[in-house]
Amino acid sequence: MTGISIQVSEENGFTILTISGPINSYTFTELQEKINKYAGKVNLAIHLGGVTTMTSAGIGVILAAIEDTEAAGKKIFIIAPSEIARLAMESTGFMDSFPILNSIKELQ
Amino acid sequence: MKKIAIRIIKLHNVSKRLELLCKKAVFCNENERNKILITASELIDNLITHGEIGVLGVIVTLRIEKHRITCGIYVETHNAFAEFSKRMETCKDNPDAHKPWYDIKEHRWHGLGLRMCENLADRVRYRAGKKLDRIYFEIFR
Amino acid sequence: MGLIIVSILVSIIATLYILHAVRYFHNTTSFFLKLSTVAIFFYALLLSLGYLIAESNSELATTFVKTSGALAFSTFIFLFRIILFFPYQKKLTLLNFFVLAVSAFFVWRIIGTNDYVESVRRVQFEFIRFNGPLHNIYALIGVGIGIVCIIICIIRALTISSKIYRQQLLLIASGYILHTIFGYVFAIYLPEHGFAYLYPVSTIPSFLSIASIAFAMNATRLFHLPTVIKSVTTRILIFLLFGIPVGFIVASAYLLRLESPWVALGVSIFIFLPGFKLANSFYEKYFVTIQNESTREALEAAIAHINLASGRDAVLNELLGILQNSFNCNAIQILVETEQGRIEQAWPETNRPIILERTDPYIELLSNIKEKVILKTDIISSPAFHEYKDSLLALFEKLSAEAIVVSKEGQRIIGIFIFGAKLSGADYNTNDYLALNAIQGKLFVIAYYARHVEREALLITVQKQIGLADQIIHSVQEHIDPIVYPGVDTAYKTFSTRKLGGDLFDSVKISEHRWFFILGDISGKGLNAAMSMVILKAMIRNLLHEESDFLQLIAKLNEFIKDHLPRGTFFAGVLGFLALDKRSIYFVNCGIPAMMLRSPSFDTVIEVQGEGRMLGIVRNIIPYLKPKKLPLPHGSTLVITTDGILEAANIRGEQYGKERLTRIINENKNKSASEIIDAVLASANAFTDKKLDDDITILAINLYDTRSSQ
Repeated sequence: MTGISIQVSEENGFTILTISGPINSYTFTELQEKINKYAGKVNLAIHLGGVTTMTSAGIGVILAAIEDTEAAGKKIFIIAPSEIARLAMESTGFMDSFPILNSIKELQ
Repeated sequence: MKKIAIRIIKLHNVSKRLELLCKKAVFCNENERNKILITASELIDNLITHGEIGVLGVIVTLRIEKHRITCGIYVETHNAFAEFSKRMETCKDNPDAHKPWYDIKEHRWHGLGLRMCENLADRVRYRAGKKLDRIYFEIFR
Repeated sequence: MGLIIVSILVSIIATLYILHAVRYFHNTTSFFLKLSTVAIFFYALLLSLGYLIAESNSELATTFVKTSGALAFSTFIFLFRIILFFPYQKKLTLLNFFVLAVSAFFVWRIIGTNDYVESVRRVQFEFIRFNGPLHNIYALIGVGIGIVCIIICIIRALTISSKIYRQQLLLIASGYILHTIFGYVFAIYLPEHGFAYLYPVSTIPSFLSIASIAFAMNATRLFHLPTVIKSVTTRILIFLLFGIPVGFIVASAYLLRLESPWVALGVSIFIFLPGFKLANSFYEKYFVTIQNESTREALEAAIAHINLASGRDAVLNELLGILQNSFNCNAIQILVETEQGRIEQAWPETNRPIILERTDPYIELLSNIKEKVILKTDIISSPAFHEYKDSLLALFEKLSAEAIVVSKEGQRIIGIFIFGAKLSGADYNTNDYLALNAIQGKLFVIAYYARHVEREALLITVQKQIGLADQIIHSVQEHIDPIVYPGVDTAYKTFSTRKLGGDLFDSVKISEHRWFFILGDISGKGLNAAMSMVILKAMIRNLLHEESDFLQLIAKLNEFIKDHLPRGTFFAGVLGFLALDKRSIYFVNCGIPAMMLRSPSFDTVIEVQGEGRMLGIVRNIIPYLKPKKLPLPHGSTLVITTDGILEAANIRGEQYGKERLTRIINENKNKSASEIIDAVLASANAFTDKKLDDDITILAINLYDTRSSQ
């Protein structure tokens, strides 16, 4: 029990990972394992609406997933990040690197 | 309440305890709270990955003044921190001195957290001590 | 806000601690326990102070914490020393020095070096302690000593036969175990779980172990569950009512320390002392059956009003009710000497009465102890009982007694009144002692009464009131040491026209040639006067054992009459020594109306009593006492009598008077002492037409001229 929960679903040809709870050095390995399983293989959507905190460990995993997926010619989106997740991503100075959608409905 | 403190003894408690700290910080607005939560999480993450939490645990304090909020993080001294803090002191408040970079071999980013902290907090100070290492960060209001 | 909470907690602990410590300290005789109490007090104080100032002054705080650690450590050693031989307190000077030396060594190591604690810091509530390299070893030694103590206690508790000691040992063991549990909870578990500010409260457990030992050493009775519950509730109530408000104020005063530490200290002391006093008086008012002066008098009056005519069982039953009510205790037993000379439980009736043989060492012990009122708490703490402490405690345990009153006639025990534990759980205190002391004279009477009066069933035919008192009086009169001396002829007569009297004649042989005597009249008539006479007579014999100074003896008797006999009881008579080898009489006139000396050289009768003051009127009688020496020449006659004969009146209202007495003595100058008395009585009888209606006592002493025979 690490406090993080990751649910996998599919919609519109996207594999959606819905993440809630804290993402930090203690929980990120769990996230990393799940993401590595899909990154570069399918169209990926990472839903961050339920994230309560996020450190560089989590951001690193997401950035890596973005690079891998894009390199493989697949699509990747960050969906509806919570206020704190958005702040964390902004703070890296690479906000442009994160393809953010406001809701799952925007996935095509 | 103008001053609050918590102590984190167990690793798996870090996020819960920090959330508690922010919940107690009624004098902050949501944005400030989020900044504190991320920055403190980030710093403690680094302390844990590069050092060790020790029997003492980590003590996090929050103090509000008219124009700033100061967060202090106290941890038992470890050697790596002394070197790190010395390095940080020499390039203080100069974000260009240490840019984050992606290590393709390791498949991970470096310096990302440091950059996040610098962007979130208005000032970060690293102080190594004989018994206690301290990190302070301030958020101006 | 945080500091307020901390300060409140600290102050409350201190309040609670001092409230109890003072009490235990007072009752404790063990040197090491006293030392531990002081050490633990400063341990708690310094640890709390260290905690409070750790944020602003790390260095001083470190010194405080080190010192408190050292104190705690030495306390462990001291307690070990106590428990090593507990329940026996052996005096082993060498061992004591060794113990002190060892603890001094550790104190030096802990305070003087960084072995135990290197430094302390506090970040708001978060207390940080940097332990020294030997910290764990010291902690291990401390815990080890604690465990050894617990094991010693438990093993000894299982093997010892005395119930009370077993209880004491188990109490100590559980105190130690609680100490460990509480210590873990407050010093480790709770601070780790978000209650960091509870850390200073971790000093409470040390108090627990000290208190358990102190309490165990003082708890000299077996627990009585309702009593325990009541006493615990009381303490909680006092804590809530006083500890918290006082603690709160003291804590608030602490906030002023930034302005001026002296103001804070002053306010704290100013609040604390009255708070302490208030709590104490509240406790005494509501939870201690107070025996103050007015209740004492009411108690005396209640016992005095017991109708002795109602029969032995009814009297004892009524007395029991009065005493139980007044002292609020769980049991009272009345032991009375039987005809066979045993001391046996007379009331309440039971299938298994307490019986003490005359030869019982306990009886011997009680005979040898001067004190008539003995409280268990006194046995433990008073040096007066030190010599007999163990056997007295054993006796008290055997009798389940908390207090006893011994009724003695001289050294002979005629009754024992046993008082059990108080229902409130409180100890018998000074007020109870004063109350018991005030009524011991009356208890004596009841014991005397119970001893001399047969069972009620046998008494049905006896005319009660008169019968009983008469029996008592006769039995008392039988105890007179007759004055038998070569060349001296004495005789006395004492009787009451209505078979009830307060007249008193007693003589006690002091040495080969000397007799003490008392002759007089106790005010009042009937049963009360008779009872007072019985008491006085017993009292005199007691005083003769205790007091060698004649005037002091009279002063004490005077005090006794004033303080212990019913209001308005006076004694009018004479006390003296007959020094027959010197043919002299030393006496003090205490209101005797007539002492007539017929001397052969004058061949006439002269009055010699002079002026005197009755006893029982003024408190300090000494200035009024005029001791006199009267030579009794060869061939002289001394006649002493109370006012019964002098005031005997005939039909016309004339009094018999001194002239008639003088004449009769003169007329019978060559008669024996008893013939002289008979002549006086015959004359008085004739004068009043055989209607003498007062108590009459008359003593005659003839000193024959032995020179001619030599």
